[in-house]
Amino acid sequence: MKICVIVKRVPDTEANIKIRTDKPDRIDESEISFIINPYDEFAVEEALKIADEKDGETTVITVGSKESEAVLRHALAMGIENAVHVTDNEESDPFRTAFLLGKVINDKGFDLILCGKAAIDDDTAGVGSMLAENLGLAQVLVVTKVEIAGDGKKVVCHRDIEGGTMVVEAPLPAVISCQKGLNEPRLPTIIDIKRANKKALETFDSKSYLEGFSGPRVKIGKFTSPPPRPVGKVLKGDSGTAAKELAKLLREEAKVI
Amino acid sequence: MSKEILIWVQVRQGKLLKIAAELAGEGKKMCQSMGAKLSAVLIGKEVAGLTGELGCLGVEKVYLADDASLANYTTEPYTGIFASIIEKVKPVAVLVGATFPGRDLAARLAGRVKGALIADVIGMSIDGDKISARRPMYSGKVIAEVGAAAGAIPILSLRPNVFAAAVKGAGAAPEVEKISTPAARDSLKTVCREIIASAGAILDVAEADIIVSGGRGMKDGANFKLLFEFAKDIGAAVGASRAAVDSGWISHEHQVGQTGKAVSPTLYIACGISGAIQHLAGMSSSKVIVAINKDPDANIFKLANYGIVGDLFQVLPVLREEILKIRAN
Ligand SMILES: Cc1cc2nc3c(=O)[nH]c(=O)nc-3n(C[C@H](O)[C@H](O)[C@H](O)COP(=O)(O)OP(=O)(O)OC[C@H]3O[C@@H](n4cnc5c(N)ncnc54)[C@H](O)[C@@H]3O)c2cc1C
Ligand SMILES: Nc1ncnc2c1ncn2[C@@H]1O[C@H](COP(=O)(O)O)[C@@H](O)[C@H]1O
Repeated sequence: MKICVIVKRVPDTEANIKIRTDKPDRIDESEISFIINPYDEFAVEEALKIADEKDGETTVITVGSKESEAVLRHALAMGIENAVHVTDNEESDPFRTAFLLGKVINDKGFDLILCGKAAIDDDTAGVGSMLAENLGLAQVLVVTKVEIAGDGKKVVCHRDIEGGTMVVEAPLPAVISCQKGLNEPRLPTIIDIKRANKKALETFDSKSYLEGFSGPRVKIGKFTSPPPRPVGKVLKGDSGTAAKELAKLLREEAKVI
Repeated sequence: MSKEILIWVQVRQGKLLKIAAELAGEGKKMCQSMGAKLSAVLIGKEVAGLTGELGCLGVEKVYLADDASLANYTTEPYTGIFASIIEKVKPVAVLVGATFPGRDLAARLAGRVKGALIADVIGMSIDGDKISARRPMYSGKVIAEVGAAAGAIPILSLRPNVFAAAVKGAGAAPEVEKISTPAARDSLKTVCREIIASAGAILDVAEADIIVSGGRGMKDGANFKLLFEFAKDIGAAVGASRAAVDSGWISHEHQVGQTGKAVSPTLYIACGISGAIQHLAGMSSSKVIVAINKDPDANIFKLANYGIVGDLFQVLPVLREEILKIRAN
């Protein structure tokens, strides 16, 4: 079974995001550190688990700048066997990413493609679906359980829906997006990391895959900071008094109950 | 051909979701600025009876695909039906709710019709024929203004609970056009085997008007009973911090934050939550935030409209009583 995981480099969840003053459609990256998208770690872990059970071969792919090599190294350190870097210096755009990934993956014939539920920078949750569309594959999104069934011909997944879980059966190959709850991603050891850093990567320039690309579909105008929150009131008195006062304010002042 | 805006009116257990009225409300406003007609796409099993209600919400035309095979959302048939309507109508915009199925549909559709996917929209402005949507990026740490590139149909998913619902009027019965169900491409056939309703949860956090949320300060999983009772009596959903979820006190579907759900309720009550940046990322756009925390220096108080420095186990029961009393009057 050939399993592919697609991963993205994103700002650390702790990062304090500042908008660039010279380019209001960009964030200032100078003081933030980057990590592998947290949801993509679930995808890497799941790939390793399935490969273990089904004697599979695992490959990780990212589209991005030179710096995004680090997220491939992280996946290798977790235990993925092969890594592919599609170098691309354009501002990240899910439509473009899905196009490039479609071209690269089409050449490789995977049985299962795993991605994260969403990238925590653009929060689009678009690449998985658009990639599945480009490859003509089924998709199951926001998945918390994956079971390969039918001699590796199909997959049964639990996916989140509002108010519950939907159990979905899909034919393979398919694209599956991974949600928290699916597994506990392993932490690579220092030895794993050293070994991963020595591994060779396959590298392609995005230019060789862009033929037929119709250009971005969305345009980002500018970023603004979320509106500041009003200064709050701290209610005085013992717990009971404060709670009573709070109920009153929620009704009469805030008008929300 | 007249201009049209298409909204996907999602159905669950035979009823329109609340988001349908919100899409109709915002869709109608957009139609007025753009000189367009509001049309709904209604897909499901035995849903034809809902067209009247759509008329009351201001929908002028309904594209109806009613078939036993469409009882539950699965990507391929819903995308096929919707795409066939888009190709025929060439709408100026497509609006869906940013629910799990809505975001699934919007993304696949955008891939199919090469549309402009704009996800999780929280605001909109129209200038002539140009739509500029506001959406959180970097988990709400910035708000981006996003528009469609020339020639791309904007496909927007709107965050539930943010846009004003259409006011129900008398409403003329909309024109109904039946859409034949295209055979799902067999190679892509996904099947919904079953739906497991989540235990205890009455409302999903993403759709709730009021959320009462617990963190590490809840001390123990058993204490979440307090929040579920509060939620049941007040009509709220139960949220949680990652610390509570990771401790195994409550399931991940309740997690609010950067790696949980992004929510915009009218009222968010944070109990025993410190206010880590990853938690704030998911709830800082709530209209009114209440913090109940023992530590006066907890970061959550920086965001809160109202704060109580105290023990949540003493505050919450009184708050529940008081709200019930006020509501009874
Ligand atoms: C990659 C990554 C992703 C993350 N994603 C998320 C996410 O999506 N959502 C999320 O929430 N976190 C997330 N986190 C975790 C986040 O950093 C914090 O660790 C977490 O939010 C803390 O949860 P907490 O506020 O419940 O716990 P704590 O920070 O331990 O706070 C507990 C609070 O309870 C108060 N308290 C204790 N007892 C009482 C009492 N009896 N009455 C009143 N108050 C009391 C204490 O004063 C304290 O302020 C993420 C972290 C990482 C690294
Ligand atoms: N540049 C990229 N390279 C590889 N995979 C990506 C890239 N961007 C997004 N993905 C994958 O697609 C998922 C959803 O991303 P998004 O559509 O940007 O929210 C991520 O969790 C990744 O698994």
